[in-house]
Amino acid sequence: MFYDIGLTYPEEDNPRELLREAKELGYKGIGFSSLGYPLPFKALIKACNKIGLDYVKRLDISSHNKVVIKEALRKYRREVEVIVVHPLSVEAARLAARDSRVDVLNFHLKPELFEPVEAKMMALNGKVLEVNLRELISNGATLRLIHLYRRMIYLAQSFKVEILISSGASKPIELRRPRDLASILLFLGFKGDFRRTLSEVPFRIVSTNRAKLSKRFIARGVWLADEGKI
Amino acid sequence: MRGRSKRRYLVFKLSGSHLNEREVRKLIVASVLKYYGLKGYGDSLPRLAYFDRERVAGVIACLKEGVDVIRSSLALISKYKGKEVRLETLKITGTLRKAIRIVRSLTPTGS
Repeated sequence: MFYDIGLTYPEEDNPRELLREAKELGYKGIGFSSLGYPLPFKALIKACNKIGLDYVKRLDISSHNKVVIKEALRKYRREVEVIVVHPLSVEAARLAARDSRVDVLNFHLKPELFEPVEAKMMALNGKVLEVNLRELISNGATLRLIHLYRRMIYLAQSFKVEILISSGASKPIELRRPRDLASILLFLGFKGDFRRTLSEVPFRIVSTNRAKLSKRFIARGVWLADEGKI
Repeated sequence: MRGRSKRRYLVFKLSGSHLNEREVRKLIVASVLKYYGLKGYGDSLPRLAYFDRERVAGVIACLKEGVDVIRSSLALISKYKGKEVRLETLKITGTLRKAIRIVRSLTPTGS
C-alpha cells in the first residue's frame, strides 16, 4: 500500500493524466502539495474516486512567523488530513517541531534549519521529515543537491526521526514506481527498510488523522466507544 | 569463496522518448557510473542482456548484491539528450528465461 502525498499540482490545471499514471504505477493514494496556491479539493477527490485512488487532503504552511503558523493551524487543523510546515526561521521550526497539530516538516526551502537540535525535538515529538525528491529526479543530481539530501537523511537517522518521501511530480513522466522511488534513498545513504517511507509512514499519518477527524473523536485521548447509543 | 556469484535479472520498461539498444546500454552504464562510481559498477556489474524494440522493454543482468544499486540508478534517469525518459523496473527474476518471458508478455508500443 503506497502513498505519494507530495505531488505538485500540474500547471495546465489538468491532473487527470497524472492521477491515472499514479494508479497504474501502483499507488493507493496521492496528495498534492498546496504550497503557493489553493487546491480544488472537491474536484480532486471526485477525480481520484473515479480512478480508484485515495486522495489525501494536505495543507502546506510556509512562514518565518510563528503567529502566522499558529493561526493557520487553528483554522485548518479540523479541515485537512495532513499538515506540512515549511519553516523559514528557527522560531518557526521549533514551534512546528513542538506543536502537536503539525504532522510533517519539510526543510527544502531552508535546509540549514534542519540541524541536530531541531532533529532531536522532532524525534521527541514524533514529527516526520518530508524528503521531496523532485529536484533530484527532474533536474538531475548535482553535488550540492546530493550533499544536501545526504545530510538531511543522515541527521534524521542519527536522531531517529521518521522519513517520508515524495516524488513531487507534476507530469506523468516524472512519476516513479513506489519501489523505484524508495530505492533512491539507498543512494542518499539511508539505512534500513526504505519501502516503509512510502507505505507505513504516510499510511499511519493519514489513518490517525482520519480517525481524529471522525465524529468518534472527542478530545486527545477521549474517543466515543459506541455510536452514541445508550 | 568458490563458484559463480548469483545473478539477478531486472525487467525494465522505457517510457517517454524512444531509444535504441545502444542508447539504452549507454544510458544505464552512464547512470550507474555517475551515481555509484566505479566501485558501484564493479559491485553490480550490469549488462543489458535483452532488449525488445517493439515493447521498448528489456532485461538487465546484474549481481544479486547490486540489484538496489541498479534499481536506484534507473530511477534517477530522467533525461537523455534533452528528451524526457523514464526507466521503470517491472520485475526482478532469478533466470533470464523468465525475464524474457515477462518482456514478451508486455503489449507492444511500436517504434
